[in-house]
Amino acid sequence: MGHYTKLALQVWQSRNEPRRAAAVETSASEIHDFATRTARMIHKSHLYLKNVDADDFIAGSSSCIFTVLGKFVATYEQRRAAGVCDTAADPFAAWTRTVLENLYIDWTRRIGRFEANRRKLVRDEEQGLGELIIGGGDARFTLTLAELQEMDSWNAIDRIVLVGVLRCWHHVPAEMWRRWLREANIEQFPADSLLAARKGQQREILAHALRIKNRNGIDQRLRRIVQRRKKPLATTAP
Amino acid sequence: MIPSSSCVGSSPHSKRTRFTPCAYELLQRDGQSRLFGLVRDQAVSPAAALAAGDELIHRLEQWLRSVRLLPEHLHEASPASADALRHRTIENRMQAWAALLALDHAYAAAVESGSHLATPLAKFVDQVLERIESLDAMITAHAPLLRPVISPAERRRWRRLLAPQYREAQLPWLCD
Repeated sequence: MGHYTKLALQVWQSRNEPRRAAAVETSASEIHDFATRTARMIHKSHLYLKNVDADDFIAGSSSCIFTVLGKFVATYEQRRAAGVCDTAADPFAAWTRTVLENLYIDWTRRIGRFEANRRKLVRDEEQGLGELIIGGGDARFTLTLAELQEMDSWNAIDRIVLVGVLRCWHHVPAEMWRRWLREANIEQFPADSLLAARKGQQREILAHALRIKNRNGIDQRLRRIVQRRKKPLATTAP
Repeated sequence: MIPSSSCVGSSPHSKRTRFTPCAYELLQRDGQSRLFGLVRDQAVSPAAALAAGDELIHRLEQWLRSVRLLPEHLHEASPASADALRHRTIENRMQAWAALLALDHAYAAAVESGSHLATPLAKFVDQVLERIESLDAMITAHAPLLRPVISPAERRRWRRLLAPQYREAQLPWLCD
């Protein structure tokens, strides 16, 4: 019987015997090390995940193995009873690798879906925002005088946030724009870094330029603007 | 001829034998075959993987040092040498990836077959992983320095060379 298979059976058999638990602690620790090493190897061989996501996968790898250990033991006992087990081989090692590889791929897909959803949410929000504020369609990048006057009554940072996200600062009359920047206590906007930013980085850079903690702060302000604009004009007027 | 375990010893990379360079070459070729999509059925034997240990650890440390010093070296280099340094960094990391793939298969085969060399190989794997993680952290920190030689076309070219299962990988050395 293979080394790790022996350890796995020991751990499984002692699960309901607290007195033996201390004795198999070393076995459990050895399985933990093996699962963690295998998870690190799977990640560094495939590199589907970013390191920050891979750290979570690696940290959770051994607990995943312990959670489904019963399935391995049941299959192993069946195969042993049927006489189809190779006594020299270590089926637990092969099983651990398969489980962790599947988990890694599942993790990658889930993160991929999450990222795609997040990008879609941002896109929808920008689109919805453009329609709410400016009237939708191609007119998204123009601001009418009435809209500018309405924005004039908003919080100073909120104005810059909206204009920064929609990138339509060139539609604000120069005099009004200078006053808005003065009121928001900003010297120069947009900075070169914002102009050069790629799509996914824009809000982060905007947050930095407006001295807002992070991109979540920008998102919160945008949500408040959308909510305010959904109400009738009379109730939003100061 | 692949060396027996007796000439490898319990601490593989503390001993350099006359087999070490050819064992490393074997590991590298096996890994490159996997990485670039040539069919490989059999893994490198655990003894050969252990024999390559000294060379692989030595190279990983050398690559780590050169990435750490990359800003200074680029500062002193002419534009042509600077680009050569950048390309060399990328090629070194690809070599590390290939070696790790071969080692991964060798380790899995050793453990699953119940080989007595699985335990020393596990220690070696831990040390290689540790160094590759440090190398990646350093490359990520210096990724903007590599950007001048990573055009979208260059990135596509590298990806096309890889086996299909590795084309979606997130590669910090290609500024992903």
